[in-house]
Amino acid sequence: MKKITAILCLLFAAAAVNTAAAQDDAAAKAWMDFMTPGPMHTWMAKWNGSWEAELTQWMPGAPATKSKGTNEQSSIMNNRYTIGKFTTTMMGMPMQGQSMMGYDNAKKIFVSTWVDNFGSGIVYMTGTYDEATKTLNLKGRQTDPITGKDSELREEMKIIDDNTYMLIMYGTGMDGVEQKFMEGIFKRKK
Amino acid sequence: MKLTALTICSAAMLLFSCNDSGKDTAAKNDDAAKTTTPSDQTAVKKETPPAPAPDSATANKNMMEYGTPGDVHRMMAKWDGNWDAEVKFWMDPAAPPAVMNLKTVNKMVMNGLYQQATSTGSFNGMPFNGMSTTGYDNHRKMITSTWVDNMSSGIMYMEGTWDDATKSMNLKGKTTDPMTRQQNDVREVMKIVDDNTQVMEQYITHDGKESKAMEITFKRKK
Repeated sequence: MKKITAILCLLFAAAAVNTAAAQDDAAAKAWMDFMTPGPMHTWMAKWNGSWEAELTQWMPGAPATKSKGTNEQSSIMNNRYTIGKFTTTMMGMPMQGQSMMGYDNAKKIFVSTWVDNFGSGIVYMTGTYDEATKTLNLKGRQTDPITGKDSELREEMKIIDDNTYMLIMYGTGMDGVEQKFMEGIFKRKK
Repeated sequence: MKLTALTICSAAMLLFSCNDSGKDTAAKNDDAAKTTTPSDQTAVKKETPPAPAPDSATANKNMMEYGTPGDVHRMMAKWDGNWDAEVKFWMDPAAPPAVMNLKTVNKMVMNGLYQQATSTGSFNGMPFNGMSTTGYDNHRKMITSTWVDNMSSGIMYMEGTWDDATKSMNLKGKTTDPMTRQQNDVREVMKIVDDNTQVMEQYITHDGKESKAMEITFKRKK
């Protein structure tokens, strides 16, 4: 809510005060830069659409399990954020998840959240896109569903082509060792 | 798109003529901004000492508990529905606040684990949209929440506790000031007054000094 406060305050102030100065121009530009969707937002919107996924999941001390999934991606608020509605099965039960991604123009980083019906926490991750490897690298923290401990989480979104991407998730367990726990290949629905 | 352009233009014009108290801090915080880590979450590393892995029965039980709505979720579900929100905000704590009215729709999603709230309204003729997601982390016993709106590009993440004695949630987070790129502390207290009334107060710390920035009174639509 802080951001609204800030902009609303500015707008309100504008109604009352009239002192144009170089610094105000800079402030105005800073806010415009912050709120205006840019090339990264256009990039995010490229991944809008319907996707089908082949997923592999690894649980501690158990063999890998394979499942299918879907992801419906769409933009909200004039391309500022992308919402992904994800479905699959996990341990034989239907799983639904929702991702939200933005690009923070002020910090110049991607920001992302995740919630699903298997957990009660909110995952918040931030990171950057590496053009050389065509990979979006995100890092954040999650509540470990088994131990209940706050733990590290890492995600890679590798762009293969306009109609294919891979999603790889890594978690850091109690032993402090990072392990891959999910890998998915997403293909655009024809 | 035309509407967006108009909005942006009017925002720009208004901004040109305004005074932001934070601008004085822009220069001195420049260095701080440069060294800001990409993630304010990962910046705080917690020590997690090695512990024996739980047996599979315990692991399953823990996972079930983590994803099962509890008392706090059921309480949040009672807030579902349509609300009128009166938003007051202060630029100068000594001056009277500006007022804006929003319509807010609360809806539990994901099997009753999270409340999604969408708010719509306008200010000075500019359309405003915001969305929050609020959950209760069963393992960490913490309220967690996110906020996005159409006048920014970031995601504000906050977490905190539910206090049953005062019927309030106390959330804390950080957010970037686009002018200074400084990370400011932000704090929210959401008080559940009764089944049909809620009051949210927001406080922001600028240069070590906290002041009230916003107050929203939600009243359930009859």
